[in-house]
Amino acid sequence: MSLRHFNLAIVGAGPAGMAAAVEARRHNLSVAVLDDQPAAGGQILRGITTSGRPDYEKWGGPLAEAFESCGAEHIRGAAVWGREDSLLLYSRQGRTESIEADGVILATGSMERPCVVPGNTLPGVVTVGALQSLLKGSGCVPAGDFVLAGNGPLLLLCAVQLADAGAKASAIVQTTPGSRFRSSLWKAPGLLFDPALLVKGLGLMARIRRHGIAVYGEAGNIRIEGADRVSTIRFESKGRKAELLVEMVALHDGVVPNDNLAISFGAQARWNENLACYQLLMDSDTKVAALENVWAAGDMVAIYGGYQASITGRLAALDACLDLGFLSPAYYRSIREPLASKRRRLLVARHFVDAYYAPTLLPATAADDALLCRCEEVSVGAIRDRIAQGVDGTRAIKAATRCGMGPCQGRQCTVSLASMLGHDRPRSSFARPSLRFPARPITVAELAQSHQGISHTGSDS
Amino acid sequence: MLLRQLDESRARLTITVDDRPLQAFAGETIAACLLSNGVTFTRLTPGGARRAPYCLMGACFECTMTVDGRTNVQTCLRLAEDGMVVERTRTP
Repeated sequence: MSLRHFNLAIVGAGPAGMAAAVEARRHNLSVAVLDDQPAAGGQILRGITTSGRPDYEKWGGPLAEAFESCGAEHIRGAAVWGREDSLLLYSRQGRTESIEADGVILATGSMERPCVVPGNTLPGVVTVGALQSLLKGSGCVPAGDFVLAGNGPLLLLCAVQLADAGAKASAIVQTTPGSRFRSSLWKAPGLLFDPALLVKGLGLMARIRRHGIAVYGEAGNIRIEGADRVSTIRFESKGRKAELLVEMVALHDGVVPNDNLAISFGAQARWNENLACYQLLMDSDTKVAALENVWAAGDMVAIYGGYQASITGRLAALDACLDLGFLSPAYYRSIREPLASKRRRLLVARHFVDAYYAPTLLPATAADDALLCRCEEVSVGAIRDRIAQGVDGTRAIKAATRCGMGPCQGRQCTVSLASMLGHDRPRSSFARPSLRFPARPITVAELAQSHQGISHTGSDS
Repeated sequence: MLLRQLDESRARLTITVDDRPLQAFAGETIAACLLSNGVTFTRLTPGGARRAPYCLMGACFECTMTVDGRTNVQTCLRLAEDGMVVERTRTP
């Protein structure tokens, strides 16, 4: 089998990946876009090429159309799990396939911050993003009573989208502290120059009220209960206890970079206490440090949302085009500078959003019985005990508890673990636990199909 | 049923889940089809607890099942296809 070669491989077909592909094709690179979903769009634009729903942000449609006609090869359902020099390995429908690429742009987006509350693993508990995915991708909505709980703009947006589609939430349980609005404005006086954002937020609240959805504010102490599946959510709101009988609970506490693939490629990340997530170390705004010919764009570098991702995707593509020799420096500067300055103007409101929607469901204050590592069933209490015993540092706790060693490879617990440690032992080591090849759980049969001399396995001599 | 399909005019197809035929709609993921048909859990943990699809975007691995003989398939990432055979993965 001859190996197909591309100038550029892009991992992820969300806003950043699609925009990068369009830009790179404009400068005549051959481009492959690998994405694990069945259709392009990523999370925010999920289903945009298949469902034709009208409620996407207005920049989404033109971007998706440009992507579909740009001439990049879109390889759907491809879960990338390895890179060796110019070789990229991925699984598709249970089979290993590979391509060769001179450069790689990682655009793997964000994922929802894991929500550590008691009962978070009961069937019927999902994330708010999950409900949005089901609506946009599969055309499904909750059949029975459900509640959206947590913090962040997605809560209101998703409640409105679901209600418009005929599925009205029983309630929204907001965990945003009451004092946050004022304190956040102090951190971002620039917001006063961005009234559009405020108008958008107020507009969502008005639509929630029009739908008649109950909103419980300043909520805390959330517990989800049920025997084999969700039956009840209990919480306190403004000091008063409440309980609601529901079949589904959707949790949300903001999003964090989905950086597992980059880390498994050898990228480094540093814990950011203010944002309560890991951030990739970069050489420039798009070039990943320590990796040759690997760039990154969109929310996996920093959480700025879909539209910004479509700009950083283009910037990453331009940087790749320059380094791979497809653009002259003068022409490159003439295209890049206007884009980069547009991006800087858009950053103003972000400081407010980051402060206002900082995480609320903190693992450090969660009840002992909440599960921190879903896969290995490690509770908050078990981690708390280890920290009290003096086990120090993210890697030491991982080794002592198996936290992060299950099938999700730490996607769901690494951030929670670091956040808990940061609260209890701020001077601890936050080194991101290593992720090794392969970046996805694959079968031995799939690994055997990749007989291209992958040295990491140590088994191909 | 945890979920319902908004557009029932979609083409219908049948998948088999643990020997039971279930009706799905074209364009649904396997996970969406399960949750629309009263299948409330997809796997058991090593400790025996029931788990169901949680993130629906490929990050949590709670929805992994055996699909057409292949183990550990993330059912939230795969569209349902007529005749698909889906089983709960028995060993964790």
